[in-house]
Amino acid sequence: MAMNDTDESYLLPCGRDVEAVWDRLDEIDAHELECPHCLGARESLRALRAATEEMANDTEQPSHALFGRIMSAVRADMGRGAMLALSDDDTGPVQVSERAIAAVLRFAADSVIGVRARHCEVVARLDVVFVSMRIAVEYGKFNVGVVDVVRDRVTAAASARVGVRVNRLDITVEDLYDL
Amino acid sequence: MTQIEVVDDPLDDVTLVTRARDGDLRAYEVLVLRYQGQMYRFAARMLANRADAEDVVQEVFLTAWRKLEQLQEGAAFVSWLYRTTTNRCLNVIRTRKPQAEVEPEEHEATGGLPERSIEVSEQMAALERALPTLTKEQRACWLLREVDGLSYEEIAKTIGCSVTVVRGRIARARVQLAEVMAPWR
Amino acid sequence: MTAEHVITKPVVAAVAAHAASGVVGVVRVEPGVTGLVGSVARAARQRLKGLDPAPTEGVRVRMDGDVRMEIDIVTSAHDQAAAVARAVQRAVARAVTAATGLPVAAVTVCVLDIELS
Repeated sequence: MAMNDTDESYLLPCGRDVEAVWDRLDEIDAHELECPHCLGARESLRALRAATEEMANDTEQPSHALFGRIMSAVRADMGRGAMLALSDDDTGPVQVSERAIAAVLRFAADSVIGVRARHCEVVARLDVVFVSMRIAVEYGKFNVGVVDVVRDRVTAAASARVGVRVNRLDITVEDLYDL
Repeated sequence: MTQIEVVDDPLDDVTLVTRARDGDLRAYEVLVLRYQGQMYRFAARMLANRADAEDVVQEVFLTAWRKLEQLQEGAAFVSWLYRTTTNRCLNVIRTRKPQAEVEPEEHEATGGLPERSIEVSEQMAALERALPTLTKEQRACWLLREVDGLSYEEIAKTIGCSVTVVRGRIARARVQLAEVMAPWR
Repeated sequence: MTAEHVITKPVVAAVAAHAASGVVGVVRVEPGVTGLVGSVARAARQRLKGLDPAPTEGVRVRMDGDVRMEIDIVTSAHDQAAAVARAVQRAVARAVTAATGLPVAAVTVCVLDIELS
């Protein structure tokens, strides 16, 4: 039987409220020791509590395919995004997604201890490459030298992993984070 | 000689959401992997159907991606996930044909999904069978509180009702579940 | 004596895609965004059957007078994206010319993503 939400408290035949029995499941008083209704309710509620704890600790995962479906849909939703032209020689133009470059540079900034890259934007205007980065730094570990390390790592990654020279790199420390 | 261990520092939600907002797919992947399990389990228990649960979770994460702009702070991401997943489940149930208030799954695979690899105890199976006997609102409130550990205030915000109503539903649900699992009358 | 050969675009695309995926540093040839959902599903099914998925969606071919192609790839961060892209250009041009006898006027390579691990 399904009870609706406007019902009064559920009272056992002995007058006790089930919710009160639940609240005191690990103690027992004189009435409950003798009362078959309360004892019965306590036993049921104990079973419920044990089953609930098991359910709460359950770690069943969805199928592996679900993750793939989600990311495919997300990628399709995203579209190509802006492309940065790298070079144009005899064999044709080469372009790299600005978003992909931003991910590489973010990763490079992350590699610096005490730094988390937050926002990274790569923009190319007429062969000039601007990178704008906002980072968060670990409270207690930060000093001005850290930004220089980030600068070095980012420009190195742009060159080594992408093949781009960054003309301008703006880094803003926008937040502190705590481990 | 001290050993230095280099461990991958898991990124916090705020950082991940900020990056995902920029279009960083990798950051979003981490968010999906971090929370898809929780949302899936909740949806599966709401809907008593694993295939439907996966569909709901897929929609929720696609919508979340599209709405990242609107999320104020990274901390709101999980709350937003719960709110959206709950409401989507309630809608699915609402639009199901009445006679198909679904029988809870036996041990067969549904929709081509594999069976659970870990055996479920008889007591948890009994609880799973008892859940569909609740109203959908009671089930949502009970699951969010007792399994997912949300506070009464959070549940009230998630479902869109008062804390008093939430308490009432959970109390009723407890009585109902205990009775179905181990009748005491 | 001249012989006329008719080479269809899908064949050219397949040759190009195959050549590109063999280049060191290429993680995959990306299907076009519009074809994504269908091709991912098909690729998944084919992988289950042990067959290689048809990798032609990421290649666009134009044949009017000369052969031009556009190809989308994902590269590995272990290799420099620009270098990989140029290697793909050379490999594709070589393979298409060898297979079809036609000179390739241009190969445009778009690196859509760089895989970090």
